[in-house]
Amino acid sequence: MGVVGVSEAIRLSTMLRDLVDVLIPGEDDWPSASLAGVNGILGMRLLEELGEDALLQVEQALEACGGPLGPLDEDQRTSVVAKLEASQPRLFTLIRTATYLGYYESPGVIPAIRALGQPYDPVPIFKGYRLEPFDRERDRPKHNRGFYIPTDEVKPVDISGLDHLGERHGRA
Amino acid sequence: MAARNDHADVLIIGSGATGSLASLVLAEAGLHVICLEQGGWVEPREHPHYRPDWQWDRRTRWNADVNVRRPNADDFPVNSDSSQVLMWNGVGGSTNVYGALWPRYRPSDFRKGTEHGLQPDWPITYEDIAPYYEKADALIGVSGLEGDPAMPAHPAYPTGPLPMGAPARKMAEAFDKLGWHWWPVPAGVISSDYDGRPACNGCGICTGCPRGSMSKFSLSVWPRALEAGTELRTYARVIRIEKDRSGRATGAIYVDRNTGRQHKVTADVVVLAANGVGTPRLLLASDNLANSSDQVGRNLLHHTLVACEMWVDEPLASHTGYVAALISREFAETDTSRGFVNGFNFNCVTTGGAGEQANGHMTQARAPWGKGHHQWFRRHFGRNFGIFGIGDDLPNPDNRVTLSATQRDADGVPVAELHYRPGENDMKMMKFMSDRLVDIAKATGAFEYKLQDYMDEHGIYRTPAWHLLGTARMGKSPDMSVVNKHQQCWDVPNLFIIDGSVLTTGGVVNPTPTVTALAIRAAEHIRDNFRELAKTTRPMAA
Repeated sequence: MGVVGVSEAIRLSTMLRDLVDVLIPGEDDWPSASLAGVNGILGMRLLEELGEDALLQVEQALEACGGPLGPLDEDQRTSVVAKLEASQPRLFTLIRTATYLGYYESPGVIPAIRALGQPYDPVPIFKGYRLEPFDRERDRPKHNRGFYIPTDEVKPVDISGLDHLGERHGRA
Repeated sequence: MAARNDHADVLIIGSGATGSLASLVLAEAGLHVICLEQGGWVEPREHPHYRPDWQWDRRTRWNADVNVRRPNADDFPVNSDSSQVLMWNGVGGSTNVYGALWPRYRPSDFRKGTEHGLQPDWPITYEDIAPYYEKADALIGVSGLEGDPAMPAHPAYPTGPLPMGAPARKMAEAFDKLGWHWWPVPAGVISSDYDGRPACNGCGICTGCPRGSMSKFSLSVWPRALEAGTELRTYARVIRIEKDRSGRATGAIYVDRNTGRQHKVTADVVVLAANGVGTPRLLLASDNLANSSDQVGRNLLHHTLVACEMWVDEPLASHTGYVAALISREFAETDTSRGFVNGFNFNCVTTGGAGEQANGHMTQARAPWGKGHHQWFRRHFGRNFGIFGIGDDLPNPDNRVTLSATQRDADGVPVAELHYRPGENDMKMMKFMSDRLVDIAKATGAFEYKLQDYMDEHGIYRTPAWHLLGTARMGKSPDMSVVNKHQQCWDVPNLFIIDGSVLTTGGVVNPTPTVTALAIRAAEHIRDNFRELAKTTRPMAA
């Protein structure tokens, strides 16, 4: 593939923006995927996974399904992406996975995740999560259920009723 | 062209969990130990944990499946017609990416020949291995709660149980409602600072652990093995084990991957620790070594495996804390009224990061794209957990590792080929397990649950095969096994196999604790009998 011209660059970048926003549109406190920068992440993931022609492959796939997305209304865009999902499941799975992971890994999205009321650290290895230590009084199982068969008490079981084992018997 | 020839008392091939333990035991005894590892060190900062895109990274560059992750020159090729082959090649082996659940086998796991005859009895019993479980626990700093009535009594674990998070409490409630056994799972994860390593901080990214809180053996065992004097050679890929006319192994030829040059290490004793695929591959590639029984590569076991992911109304922060919460041994023993032999176990686990939850973590249940996406996420995030059913699959000689007739790796070694199909007993067990998972989901009051049977669209069982077992199994006689009760090859008296390939049966739990206990036991046997082993041409005992 040759040098990417300006118009092609804008066309492909626009394609990525429109595509990720169909997958994850903005809503209330949640930014759209493109506002969170996921279009750039998706482009890099596609390049990494599919090689230099990755974006052209996606563009062609979308066109085969009725794209490009730009001139279409919301329902039409949804229809095109649904066709892409059905006709090119492997490509679509890659696009969806990269978009979903990229979205929830984006720093701009983290406040919306935290606003749901549960602790969330985008890179938790550094500080970890504070959890209550195990309390032997409170947390120890009280049920006293469970058993095992000691070595000397392991006895033959009757497998005559297990028809599916007939052919296997003696093949240990 | 050989450029370097060395001699060791003991040559160990593979530096994973078992190779590191054997190196430690034997070097501490004053023996000259050389360990050859085809990969390199995995530095803590190389792990995905420190990257903001760690969720993407652990699906791709750090995917445990050798056939999915980026081309990694440390790996060797494995062609599989079914299983997802999970392993890591490098110092510490698959402990770089495992989850470190640490349950023991049960006494009956060693006695399946007596119980129903469809698997052989082990040549050892639970009582033979129990002291070595304790030695491994002490080395690793296993955490857990003593007193499980479903297991033989044993001393307290070196570190206490990990925190019971909200998902664990929820699952415990469900098991109580059903009247089923549950217990906090023992883990190769330290709950308090131990041996210079920091306690688990509950970050929840339990795909290996660069902190060393989870026992990554390059951080927990290898420093001690090196201090004891082990000579560890990285990027040293063994291509062949050699033997002499008397039938003794003389050493191994390896390729230095940094230079491309071949070298030979001779040794009085050779120890294979290359996992359930790498070990049979190397034996078969070494002129069918140790295979007069024709059992090398056969009887591949993975465990039966199904899973269920479930979502409940209350927020559980299910992405926090150690990945494994509880274990249930309710169905661990055979009960033929269920319609099959052998038992299974439930492993209850937490979930991944926000992106992984949205994208489908254990199952294909994921947020829809488009308009409903955010609504789904608000309803599901942090409210889920999963349960694996893991059971004892019956051995089948046709489930096996073989060598490709046409393909070789870059160093000329034939590519490993892996075939695995669950049998009818295994399928019946998995159906029963799935039904019980539905019982659990209903007992939790889940508003949604999704089963995972690992069947693809063509009906092929594509299990994520962490557990690569049975392919050089231990037995009581040389006609149906590869090694004796000391893990000494019947055919080659100074060749020992100490990885998961020697397991006679798979048990109903994660096998690493048993594999490591056996490795310590075998290493101590070598240590205590080294002078005899250095010259014998016959196995010492059945």
